[in-house]
Amino acid sequence: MAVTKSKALNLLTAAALALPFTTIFASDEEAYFQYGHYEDGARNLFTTKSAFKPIEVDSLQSGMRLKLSDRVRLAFNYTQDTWSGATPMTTAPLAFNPNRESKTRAKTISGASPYLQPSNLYVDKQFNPLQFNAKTQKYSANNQLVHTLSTASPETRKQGDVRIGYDWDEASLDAGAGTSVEPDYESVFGNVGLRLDFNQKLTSVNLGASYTASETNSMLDHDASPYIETSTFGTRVQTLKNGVKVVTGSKDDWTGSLGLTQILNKSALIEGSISYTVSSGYMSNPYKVVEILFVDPTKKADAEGKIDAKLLPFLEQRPEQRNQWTENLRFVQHIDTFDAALHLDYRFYHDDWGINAHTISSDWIQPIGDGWSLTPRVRYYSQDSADFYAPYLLSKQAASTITFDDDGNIQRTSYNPKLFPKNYSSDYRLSGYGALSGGLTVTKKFAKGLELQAGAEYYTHAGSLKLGGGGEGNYADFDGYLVNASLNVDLAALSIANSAHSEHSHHAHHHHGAGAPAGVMFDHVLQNAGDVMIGYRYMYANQAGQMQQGVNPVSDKALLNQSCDPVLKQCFVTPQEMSMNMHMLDLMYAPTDWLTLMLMPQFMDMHMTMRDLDGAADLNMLTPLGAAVTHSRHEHTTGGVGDTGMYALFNVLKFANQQLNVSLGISAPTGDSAIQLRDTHQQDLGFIHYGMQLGSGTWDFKPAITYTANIDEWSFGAQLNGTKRLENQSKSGFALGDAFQATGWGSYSWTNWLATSVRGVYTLQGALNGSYKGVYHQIGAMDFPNSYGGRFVDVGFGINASMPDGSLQGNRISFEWLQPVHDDVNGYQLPREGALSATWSYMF
Amino acid sequence: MLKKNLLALRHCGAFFCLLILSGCSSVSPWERGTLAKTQMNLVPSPLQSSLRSHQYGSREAASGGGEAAGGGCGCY
Repeated sequence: MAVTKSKALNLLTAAALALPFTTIFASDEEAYFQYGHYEDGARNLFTTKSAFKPIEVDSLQSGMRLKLSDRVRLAFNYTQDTWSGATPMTTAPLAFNPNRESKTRAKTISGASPYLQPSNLYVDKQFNPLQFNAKTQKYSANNQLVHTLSTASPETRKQGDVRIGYDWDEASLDAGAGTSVEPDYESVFGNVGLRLDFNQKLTSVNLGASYTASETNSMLDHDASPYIETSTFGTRVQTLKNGVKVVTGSKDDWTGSLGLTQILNKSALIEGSISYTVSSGYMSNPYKVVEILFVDPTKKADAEGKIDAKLLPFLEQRPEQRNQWTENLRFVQHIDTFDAALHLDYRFYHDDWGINAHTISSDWIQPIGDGWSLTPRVRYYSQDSADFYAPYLLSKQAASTITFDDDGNIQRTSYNPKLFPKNYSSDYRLSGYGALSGGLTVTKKFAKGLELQAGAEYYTHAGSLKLGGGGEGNYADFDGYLVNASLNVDLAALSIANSAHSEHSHHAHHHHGAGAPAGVMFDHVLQNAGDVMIGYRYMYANQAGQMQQGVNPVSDKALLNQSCDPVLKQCFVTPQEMSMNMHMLDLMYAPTDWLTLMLMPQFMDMHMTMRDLDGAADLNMLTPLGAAVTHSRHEHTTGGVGDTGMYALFNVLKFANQQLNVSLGISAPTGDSAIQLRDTHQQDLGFIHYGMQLGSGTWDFKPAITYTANIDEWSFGAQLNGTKRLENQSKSGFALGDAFQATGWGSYSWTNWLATSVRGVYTLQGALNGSYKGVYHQIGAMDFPNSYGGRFVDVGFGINASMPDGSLQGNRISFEWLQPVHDDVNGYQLPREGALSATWSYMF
Repeated sequence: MLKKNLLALRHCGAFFCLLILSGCSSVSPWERGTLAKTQMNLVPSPLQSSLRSHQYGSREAASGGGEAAGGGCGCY
């Protein structure tokens, strides 16, 4: 293993020549996982505050890059974002009080009920908004602006993409494609990239082209849409049978780019690139409106100098064409004294909407020894406002006039939209402002190619930070922060390490036999002190079909009269489909030969649809229960960080081909168990249905005992595991029931890399304890604690593949489908349709 | 409009001249040890960068650097 310094240098040189330098530094084969969280700070509403948290976004990203052969690369990537919270919907003069206070919460706005058409508005002769002062009982001009906030219930976006690449000695070609799906927006995209190396790879030219097609299909906020003027939007806005207004549109983006990378000297390099994007189609944000202030020029001021005014909200109208140019310059300089790298990036952006933007950022990457590095960074961004941006518009015409025709009939004439500008938006993102951000990233590289990273960045947006001044007023200022944590496994480094230790590695893999099916956890311990295993688990489960009571299907009539509270007597809706996606990271480490520690963070998202029960009473949607029923007709989604498991695994008995492991674990309540729905119809809807919460809300004890045996090509196993809640209730008032599971499996290895398995599972899960403390509305069986848990039997069919040699040696992937065969539910529940588990793990 | 476009083109021209002029050096393969260090990568943390640019993209008008990488609506 002793590699001399000169040998190492030679290897490095060979590597440097063999690979294009633009990709020298990134590993060719890696698996990665990242979690990110962004959160806005509260907006300044001056006279009130929002009852809802500002917008927050939880992001999850995972993927893998592999080499299919010496020259062929394959990469796939999955990204998921879930967001919820309050954001500005429009802007209006503060004098007009455009944030209506909640009926149920004093001095706060409900947020979801934007006050788009306030009444009794006056301006002075110069069209300044007039504010009424209750103390002096007089009106005075006040030009202060304020955002009107709107709140969204949680929504999730999912994106998957693949990329394939081919390398020649001095060139490479890449092609990629992907799709992004969210409830109101879908896009598909494709791109190609060509890299040509010259001059002994001192110079590289990069050419790229890409295309994205997007479709918007968004339901307007049912609280806001009755007030929003949509008549001027033609077929862009359509009203469905149920009265819901839908905005549709499509967009195409074409991009071409050209870049040049140059090694300047042995410690500096530079990259310059230009790109051009042409976008056409619907580029407005369907959730942003522009307030137009109508003042009839024929009206005279009254004795106090007041003129009547009317404020009407219109969907924003951006141009349907956008040409964008971007120039990027990156410079990297090694600072020998500190062995640090200084990164300087500058970007100039220009488009034909009138926006010029400058971005300058700098990173200082400082290795501090033992695989650690610190990266402080600072970034400054400044943009001009778009030509058509205005916080609100003034239209010197009457909003509507009433006249009488010759027969004495009333004739109402509305505003003339031809007097409006062609395009308008009051989205603060199109205003002039600057943004300053700074952050710190800590990276630790372990031996064997494992890298962990954590970063935090604070971001502040202010009109006063705009380059050259003249930015938007301070009402639009906000700040936010972004944190991320990631794990990266360099598979190429691993396979090098493994081939060096092939004897040990082979032993380790041989010992594990075919392994347990994908849905089984805690089945093995690490063998030697210092061993590490990284894994990724994905689980999908769904429920759908005809509702059951116990083991029997039940009719709508029975659900209507029996599935809700005996006092309430009536249900209104029933769940139709519920699904869950769970992403888990499986990090195992053996500090000693006899103990394996395991950390398992989870990230999850839930989806649920409901339908009205046949014969359900029609409720007034302006009552709390009626609003809850109306809101249930939209699909509900939640997503974010789930609970975090921490386990200690011990090998208690070990014979040649048999072992018995015990696992003792604690699950920490890191998942949110107090998610609430946004207000609708001016009603506080309170907590979302129990099953949609992301965490148990309690500290849980999770023990398991597992027996495994290998006989020739056969492997067998059995496990008992349980979950005991250590607290009676979460902070939101309820606790999930305790659970017990017994499972047994057998698997057969067909070859040295492929095995299939069959498994039986019995699960006993208790009903919920307690109930929500706070507002929530019981509209269906899923809102009652006794309609959770039950006794379940499943049969699982699995397939396991492990790479015994080659560059992917040590990787194991497995899939298992669990088919329910018996559901005996507590209360009234949807039957389960099945669950899919998929795992990837790497032993080293 | 045309004037603005010409201005942008001139920017680009100046830019590439600068790059080409700066390329008149020679670094032998065995002198590239420093350049091969991870901190010298043009994009040192691609994963973190993608998260950051997605976030900037949902907060700023000048989003992206021209790559089509999906990204969704950012309608919030």
